[in-house]
Amino acid sequence: MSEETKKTPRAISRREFLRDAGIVVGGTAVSSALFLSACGKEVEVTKTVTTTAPGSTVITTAPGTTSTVTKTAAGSTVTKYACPVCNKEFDSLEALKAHYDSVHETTASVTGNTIKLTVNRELYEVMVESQTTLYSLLHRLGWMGVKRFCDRGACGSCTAIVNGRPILTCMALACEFDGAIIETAEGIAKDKHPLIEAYVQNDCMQCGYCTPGFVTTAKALLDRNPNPTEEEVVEAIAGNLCRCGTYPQHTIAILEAAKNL
Amino acid sequence: MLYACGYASPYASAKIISMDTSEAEKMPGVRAVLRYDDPEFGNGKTVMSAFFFSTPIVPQTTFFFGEQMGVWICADTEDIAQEALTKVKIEWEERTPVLDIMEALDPSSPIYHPEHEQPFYMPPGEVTTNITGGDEGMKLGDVEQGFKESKHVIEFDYKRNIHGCCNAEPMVGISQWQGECLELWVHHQYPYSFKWVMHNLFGIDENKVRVNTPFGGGSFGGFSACEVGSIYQAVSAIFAKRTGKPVKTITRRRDEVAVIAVNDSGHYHFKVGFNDDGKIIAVWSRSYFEHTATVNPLSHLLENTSIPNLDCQRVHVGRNKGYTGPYRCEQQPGTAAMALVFARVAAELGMDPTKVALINDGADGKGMDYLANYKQEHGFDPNRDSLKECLEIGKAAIGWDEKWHEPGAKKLENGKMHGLGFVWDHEWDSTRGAGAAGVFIQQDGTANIVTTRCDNGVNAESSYAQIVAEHLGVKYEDVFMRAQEDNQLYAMTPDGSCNLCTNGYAVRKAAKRCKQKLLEMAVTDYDIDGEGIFPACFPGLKATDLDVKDGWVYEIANPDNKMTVKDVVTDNMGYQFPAPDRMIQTAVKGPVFAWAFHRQGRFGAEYWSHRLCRQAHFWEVEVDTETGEIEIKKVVNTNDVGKVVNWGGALGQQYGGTYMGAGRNRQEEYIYDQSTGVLLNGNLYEYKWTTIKDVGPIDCHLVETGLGFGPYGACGIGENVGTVTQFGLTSAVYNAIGKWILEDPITPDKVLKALGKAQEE
Repeated sequence: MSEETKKTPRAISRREFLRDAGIVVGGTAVSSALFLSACGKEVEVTKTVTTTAPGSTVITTAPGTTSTVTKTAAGSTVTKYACPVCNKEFDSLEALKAHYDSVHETTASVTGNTIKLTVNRELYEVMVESQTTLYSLLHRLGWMGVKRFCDRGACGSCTAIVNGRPILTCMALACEFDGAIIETAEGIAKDKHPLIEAYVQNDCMQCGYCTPGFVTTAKALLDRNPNPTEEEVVEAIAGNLCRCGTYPQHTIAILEAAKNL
Repeated sequence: MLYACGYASPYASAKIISMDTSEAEKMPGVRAVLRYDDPEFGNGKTVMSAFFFSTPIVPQTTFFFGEQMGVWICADTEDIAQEALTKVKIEWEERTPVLDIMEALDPSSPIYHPEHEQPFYMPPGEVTTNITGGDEGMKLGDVEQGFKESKHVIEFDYKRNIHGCCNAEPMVGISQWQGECLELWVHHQYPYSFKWVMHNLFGIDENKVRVNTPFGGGSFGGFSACEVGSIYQAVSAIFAKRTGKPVKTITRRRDEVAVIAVNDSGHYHFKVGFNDDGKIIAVWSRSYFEHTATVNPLSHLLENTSIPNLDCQRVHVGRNKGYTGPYRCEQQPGTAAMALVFARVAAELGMDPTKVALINDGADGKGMDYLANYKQEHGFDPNRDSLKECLEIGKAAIGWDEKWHEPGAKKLENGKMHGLGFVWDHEWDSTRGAGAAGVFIQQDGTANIVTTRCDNGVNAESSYAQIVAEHLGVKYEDVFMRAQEDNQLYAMTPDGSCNLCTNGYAVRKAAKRCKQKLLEMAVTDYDIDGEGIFPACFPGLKATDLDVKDGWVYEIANPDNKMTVKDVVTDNMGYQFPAPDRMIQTAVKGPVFAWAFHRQGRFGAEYWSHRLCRQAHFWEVEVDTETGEIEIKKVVNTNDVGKVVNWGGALGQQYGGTYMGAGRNRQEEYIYDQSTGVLLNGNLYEYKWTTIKDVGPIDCHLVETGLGFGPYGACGIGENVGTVTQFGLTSAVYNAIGKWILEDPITPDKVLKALGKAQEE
């Protein structure tokens, strides 16, 4: 087994674990999620959008649904809407709503604002209610790198980089971020940013729960200041809490990563 | 997945008279409700926790603000569940809470929880006292005689205000039934206990319960060791059974914070007799603890010192705040007593506290000569003196000899008062624990450590992989431990700082046995059902002629005669065929797997073993006498861990313990409304954890004397720093301002009061 393999993140992430436990997550290369509001409460709907080459066979799945095999003509698009309760698929949102009304609830209405987001270079079109936090939305889209820790913007564990700035997503309303470009720890890791290797080599993680927040905050620092002093690093991560308390190792790792940019 | 949330009590002491959940149950998205009067799991039905506690799953009464009681609601989303809870209508019998434990001792005080189980030493019946436990404790020698023999006798009090647990990751429990089988995902340090818990709750056979333990975010004991530690999992399993879906119970941060605090909170009283040479002759203590205290306060003086006369009584007192439990760790009453007794004696004599420590080092009331003999008898180097070695390194690192001064004697140019503090204790633990683990070699030559264990970030995987790699003879990067799934073998749980010293032995034994199987396989011919002989990899040799290194099996006398581990284990008949034919049916060689169990001591605890490793910590502070603020300028930690297996992991424990200790003794405290018992700062804005900016440079040193009972002479470290170093702050503040502040946390108001610049309330 190579050194590189040894040091890659664990095979089963929390995201994958929760996905297997039944949470519906957006799927394919271009995917969207609509939030079906039933009696004022959000219920998630997964829409799988698949664009195919002429005459090809596509198997699309979403967790908990049955496979859909589709043969398409040139350039056509197949869209399915999955019921969040029983996973039955429908060809249109109206058909899904009618099913939901008749089978699961007495009334259902689609409410909220539609916003577009790019998260770790994946495009989403999402309908959200006004009180939906950015943290909640990112979680529903499957991006678990933002963590619920203090639940009120005191700890930094929910940090995501939004349009280049580190933002506490638990304190941010999703509806304010139409058109935003968002980066979470998963995207930073996928890009093999030097921070990842530096964090591993310097034993910065113990339980690891706060680590995505630290890495994201650090990335935001290095994006705007690729050559920070130790004091600047400390200042930047002073808003991130770690109960395991490996703070000094974070500073070393970030300075090391800066040298390897 | 469905989500379940519990009703958080708005009162510190109350009883539900009636409850109307009809509006909540009608809400769209609500799938099930579990009430306190549920015929199957209500009406006082209990669930067991990891230790011997049993607690009602859905209590009808509450004894603290924020307790999850009365009703749980299961819904499509967490938001729906929480909103449904607001629609529950309850008729309450409100009761007067009692918050101060000294008031709670007054016979006229309200009973904090009339329905609570009677203390074991009282006959069953109506609860008439707030005393929940305690003991007449721990005695050594004759303290009264000791005081007579002492030149000096002092008495002093110490108060530890209640401070908190709260893990990084909120408490959850996830359960799913598949027919008669139950699968759990637990956020808990004792996952193996849940087979028994569910067996008792549902009557299910333990072999039908599968317990997975995903990575745990910041678990330091606390909830896992608490009476209510199984509630979340039990509720999720009940709802999963009733709804037919997987269910996740989840709590709000505010409610979780209210549940449990650290079990060193209370009032301590000490009487200490000593002589002019610094020799401590007798210590007597009577201490009152909030809810419970796991260890006797004088236990470290017994385990660590030559003090010949000790007597300690402790009383546990119930009050209307949450539970208390071990949180990095239960030793805090012992470390508090150790630190304060030594600091006070040194201060009374005007002696260097490091010298007082050396004078009194020992165990069970006996001195260093006794310990030297003990070391020799047990195979240790009698010439290694752990405390001396720690002091030498630590004093040099902090500049002790140059900087230490009389109390209150050094004012800096910036107007602040300089202070230097010191604290010491033994290092724990290498004398208890039990665990099992296996080692399995895959067909590609890589190896798995097969065990189940909570992974809460103590770097166990790295350490165990190092040990297996060394003793199996493969590369470190070819060893993988995936402890999150139910492997049916259970390693020692992360607690007690004794994991390496227990699991290290278990994985080492398993690796050695696995290596033996590998070598035996390498020299064995295999008869393929009469079709012929599949020859050995090393024909004509014995297993003792071979060894393994870096993934190669080789002949000791002729190292060029070698073959990779992969080639030895690969079953050329069964497994090496193309994919469709790689079937177990054609296998000739069996799997290379071995397992081992290790118990470190009798019944998993061997308190007769003396603890031979020591730790010493030094704090440098500046105290602003105008504002009362304390600036921590530098901390030096020296821990003798016997043998370091994973340096990065051990250093991380030193750093982490320092930040936690700084928080505990400088700013962490739960604040309650004194009339209602409502927790006012149950959030991380107002309950202040230490940030990176709150402590100056931390200089950590690891000492390796080999005096631990763990593998390679190792001893633990996980809890050691966080539980001990904090009292270096106490003695540093005294050194700075010449006044003792014996109430933690040492907040600015207390400093100003000690300086006479603020009035007592």
